[in-house]
Amino acid sequence: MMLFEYALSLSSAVLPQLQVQQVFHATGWLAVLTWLSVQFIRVYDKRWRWLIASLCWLLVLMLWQAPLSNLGLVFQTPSLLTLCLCVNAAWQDIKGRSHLLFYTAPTEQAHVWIWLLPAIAGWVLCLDTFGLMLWDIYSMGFEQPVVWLAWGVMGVWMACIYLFALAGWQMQAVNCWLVATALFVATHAPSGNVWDAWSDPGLWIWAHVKLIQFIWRQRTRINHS
Amino acid sequence: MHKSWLPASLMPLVWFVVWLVVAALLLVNAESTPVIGRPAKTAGAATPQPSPSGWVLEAQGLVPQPPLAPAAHASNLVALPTNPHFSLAVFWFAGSKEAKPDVRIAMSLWSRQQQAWTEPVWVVDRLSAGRSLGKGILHIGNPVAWLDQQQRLHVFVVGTGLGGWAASRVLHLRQPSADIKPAQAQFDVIGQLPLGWLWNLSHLVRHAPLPLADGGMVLPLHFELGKHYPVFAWFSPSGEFQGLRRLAHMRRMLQPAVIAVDANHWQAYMRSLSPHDKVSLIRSADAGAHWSEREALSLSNQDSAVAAVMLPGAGAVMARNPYERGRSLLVMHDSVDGLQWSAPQTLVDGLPQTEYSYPSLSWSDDRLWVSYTELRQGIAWQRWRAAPAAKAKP
Repeated sequence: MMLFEYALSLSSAVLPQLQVQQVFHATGWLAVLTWLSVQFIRVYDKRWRWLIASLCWLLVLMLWQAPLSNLGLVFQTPSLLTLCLCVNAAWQDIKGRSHLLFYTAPTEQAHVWIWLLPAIAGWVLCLDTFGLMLWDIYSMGFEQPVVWLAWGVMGVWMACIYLFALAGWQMQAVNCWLVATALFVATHAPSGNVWDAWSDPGLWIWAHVKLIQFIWRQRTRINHS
Repeated sequence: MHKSWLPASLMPLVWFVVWLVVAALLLVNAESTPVIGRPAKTAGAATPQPSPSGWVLEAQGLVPQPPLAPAAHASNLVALPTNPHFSLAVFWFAGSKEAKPDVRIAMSLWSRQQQAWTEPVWVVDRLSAGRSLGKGILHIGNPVAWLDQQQRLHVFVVGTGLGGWAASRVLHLRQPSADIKPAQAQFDVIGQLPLGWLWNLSHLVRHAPLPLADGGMVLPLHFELGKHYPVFAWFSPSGEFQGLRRLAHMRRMLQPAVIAVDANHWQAYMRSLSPHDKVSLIRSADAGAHWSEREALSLSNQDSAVAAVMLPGAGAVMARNPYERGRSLLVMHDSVDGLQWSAPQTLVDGLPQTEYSYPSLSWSDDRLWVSYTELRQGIAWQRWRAAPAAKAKP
């Protein structure tokens, strides 16, 4: 009962409590730094990559406050969706049969056009920041209709996945979005605005990297054929 | 064979439950009343009364400056009407120079008994604020204070990231209790105001909030990266952030000083970067829900702060630096409707190239209080008494 009341108090104010902000700031950057490191660690068992990288960064961030403080100074806090995508990437690597050394489980690649969603959302929010949109998009992120709309879209998307047996990466994508939204409505992290929970400039930039990579590969294929 | 902790057939059910939980939490937290559009606090006068046609300077001086702080700027006054010991508090930033790492926020109180400002105390510095927040801050400045319904002081402070003022965010600090001590200021960091998606960049605060009828307030802010536009943030009576209106379609306007002509008709005067060199004006007829740009006032202004305050009953006072004299001349005007302003009354007339700027106005103990930056070295103050119309005439 007390836990329920506490959870209710967390989600009743628009802004998350300072402690909640700090927890998500640390967790978000731990996830992002781990994910970044995993891309560069040359260990073939992916499970070990995640374990080594996350433990190293956990130790660094616990002993040394400067990295978190400076990342906050420049980049603020990663979005909850970024956090969920990092956790999902880790989970996909860990849950495979990676107990065999040098074995890497084949992972299903998401269709690259899924990255169009964060790229477009980022552009809309960026243009909105500079007053180039017709509506005040960012301020809508404090109001519930946007979250209700997303909730409906997620419901329809999930139903379609089950009814039409759509690809598994779609389930991963909608689950990440759903968990990010659930964390937001429960805690209002990281800022009280749902756009900050669903998107951040780092994710926006990464979405462009993925799209550019895809376009570049397509061009290379065409040139070689 | 890889063993899952949950049978695959149950996973859809789990996600369905999560989906329902989201809806349940949304329903529990549904807002019962709209946040934006709440009426402003007014004196309750049924009919507008003429504003005083003259002002008499009662007292003036300098607010004591903290030791080893040769620079001071951007003062902000806040009335403490129910406090038995102090009638006003003034906040400003002081240090070696504006936007230097050693700049801190100072506070002094006007003692009712001694009729003088108390020795200043430091409220917050960038390092302690950054530690509390868990995010670094390069410089701080522009404090704006507000007294909530529980008589706790809130202070909003600009904290810069990489890139100086253009990379600013707004910090929110609050007293833990209503007890104001002149020798020791204790403020807790509440957090940063969420004002924009792009790393929350380039939002600043400068002028006093507009009190609402329910005890809440509207904090005027502005965005200043590339284009400059006003922003208004709504707060509950206990000082919790509630919502935002960004007037992003407006151009070249910053530092809104907002007053309420009546509960629903609000006006904001702004420091202008427009080529017309006049005080910019925007108006709302629905308690801040929608704003429209109006013709600039006939009062000149070019990139210097404008302050405004409502008088009890009716009328308003504005302070500004006339464009023709740069920031060496500081004047005030009064007005009944906030549109037609009286002839200027000089607050301070300095030598060319000197600076008397960033005025702040407050009404306390039936007097008009003015504070402003003096030569970027200290904070000056004045106390004015409204003279009845007949007596004010020569």
